[in-house]
Amino acid sequence: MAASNARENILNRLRKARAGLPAPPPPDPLADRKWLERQPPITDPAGRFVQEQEAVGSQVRRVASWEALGDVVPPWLAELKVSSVITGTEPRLNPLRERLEAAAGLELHTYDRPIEEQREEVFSVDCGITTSHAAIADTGSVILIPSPAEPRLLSLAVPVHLVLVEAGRIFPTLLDFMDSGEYQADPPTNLVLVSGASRTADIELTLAIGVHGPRELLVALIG
Amino acid sequence: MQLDAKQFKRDRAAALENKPLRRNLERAMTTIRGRRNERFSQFVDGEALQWIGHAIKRNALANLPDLLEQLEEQLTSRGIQVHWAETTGDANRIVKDIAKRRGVGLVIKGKSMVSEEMELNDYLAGHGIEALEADLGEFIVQLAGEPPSHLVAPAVHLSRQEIAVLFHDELGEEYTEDIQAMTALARRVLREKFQQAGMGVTGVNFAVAETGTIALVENEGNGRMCTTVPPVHVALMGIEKVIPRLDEMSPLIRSLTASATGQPISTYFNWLSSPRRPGEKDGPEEVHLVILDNGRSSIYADEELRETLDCIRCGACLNICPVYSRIGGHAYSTVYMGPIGKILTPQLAGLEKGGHLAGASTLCGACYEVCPVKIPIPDLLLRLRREGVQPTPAGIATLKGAGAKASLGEAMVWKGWRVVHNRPALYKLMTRLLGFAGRTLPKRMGPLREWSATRDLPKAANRSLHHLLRDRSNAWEAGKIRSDSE
Repeated sequence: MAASNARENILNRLRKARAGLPAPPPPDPLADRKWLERQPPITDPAGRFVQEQEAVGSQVRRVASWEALGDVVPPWLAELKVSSVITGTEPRLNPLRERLEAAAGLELHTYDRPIEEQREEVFSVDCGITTSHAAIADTGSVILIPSPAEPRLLSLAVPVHLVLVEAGRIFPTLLDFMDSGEYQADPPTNLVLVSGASRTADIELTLAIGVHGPRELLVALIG
Repeated sequence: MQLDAKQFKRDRAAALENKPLRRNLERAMTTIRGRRNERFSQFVDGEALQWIGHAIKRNALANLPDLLEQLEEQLTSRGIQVHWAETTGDANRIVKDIAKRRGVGLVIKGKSMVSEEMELNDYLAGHGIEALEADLGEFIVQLAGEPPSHLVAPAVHLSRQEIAVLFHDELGEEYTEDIQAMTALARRVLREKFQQAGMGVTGVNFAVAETGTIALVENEGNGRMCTTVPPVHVALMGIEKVIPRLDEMSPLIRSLTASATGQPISTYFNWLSSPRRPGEKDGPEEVHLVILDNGRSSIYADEELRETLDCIRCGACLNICPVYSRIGGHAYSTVYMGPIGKILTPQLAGLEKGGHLAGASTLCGACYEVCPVKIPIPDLLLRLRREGVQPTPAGIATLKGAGAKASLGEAMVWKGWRVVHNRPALYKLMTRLLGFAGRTLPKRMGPLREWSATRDLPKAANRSLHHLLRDRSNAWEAGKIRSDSE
């Protein structure tokens, strides 16, 4: 196959080219850290996270505990006229699911089979609820690591995405999350940083919300 | 697209006369520059951030072959199939073969400049495979039958009214100029296509060697759709996209989005490292990465020109460029437009075809000021201009078409210039002749006609500076004046 030649040819060309040239000094691995230390300090990561999320139009509500979700979420969804909800099989959501099941005018779905068997359902529900891995304060980002219990489309195919974020899991910066080594230890199939609802400015650089992903990002900040 | 100097001359002149285009561009470029500047003004020492990006890319390129191998090893170990392509033809065949093997009739695409370089859509169409652009801007220009006119905002040359007409005519929808409504329409049309498509194709913003991560930066969610819904995902990247470490994406993404749109981060920053694993309920069964050279390894061989490969495609150099912001992206007839296109295209296509692009610059240096990885674009433009007219010195003869623009006439003029400036008597004679010619000859003649058509020819003085100073010093010596200050 030509492809295997291509690999060797490209690498050989690069190696040959490199041999004649001096290597630049390696960059300071702490340069970004030092730069961040010169920026205004983030004294209250949760406060900054909320501020950044709200700046891009997300709705954020603070919830005292996982148990309290059942009191906050159903009326919130009712305000937004959400009539159907889908979650995965994450056990931490079970108490909330019980309350959602009992809520009037709300249909509860479960994403628990391969998408090939559930496509129409997943693409027609109003709202998906997921947990998050962590969050980042200075960019106002939620870190999602989808899993068998919480598949990728739960936060993507739905018009409204409600994400649960633990206040104790907010890193000041993306670099702090990277420095934790959590990702490098075992890179997951997919990790996505979500900072607001899907948006575009492709027509006259004018902001429009909800192109391909959710039109609405709801953040329940726990603790 | 016809890449040649005469065509460029016609197209840029037409663009300058195109009032709607000028209006659309001026409004958009003013807005987008403002957003970038506002974000950078919030940083303490934004320039230091640019230099951090510079150092990361310089180091990554210095280790490029090793990093590519490490990336391949990491990706392969988790089941992503890596393909190498020397030319765009090879890359196209690789994508087509995967599609054919999987029986794909519809490909849905995220934004990818490499796919534009490959002219992938046309190639696939020739093999009976439809490729549909899903990024809203790309979707619009595809409907219009045009290439993207900007690296980040492909339809920036069009007004909302022009897009409204396009949607009405091509999609048969009710006419609306409401941007939110047009966006909703594209969402509805493309939603179905994501589910029908047998393959998603995207570009790559960063590839991390240590972790084997393909990272995509986007706001719309089409990139996530393309990499999640279809059963096959094919990512396309130039060899220059790989970086050594995960944490190097921290300054690069900050700099990229600040430079491109003024955002602190894009809405989605999507990291992929394997196909769907056992137990997972969605995501592609197959993931492929196509690594494309297409002339980049030749650019790599020249230490100075190599900096061209640092580019992270933010578009900031387009937005600030006095040339791009007046003629837009189409007049160049290149895949990569604006200042970065002016240095990249002549190197990829050869100086005989693209050398004229290096001339289309005022060398004002604004592109260098805003570049998030500090590519010395003005220096590289000068280098390419020189290479165009004189063959490369031995040892670094890597540029295709070096010397292609050399002309005997121009060489003679410069030779003459050197001779005259080395001989005082000749120089004196020349200034006298030029003074005389400037006063007496018609303003619009010979080689000056084109130049003077839009500019006023400077008026030559009766007496040269030399003469004036000599007179002055004579007068001083004769005691007629006391000092220069009088």
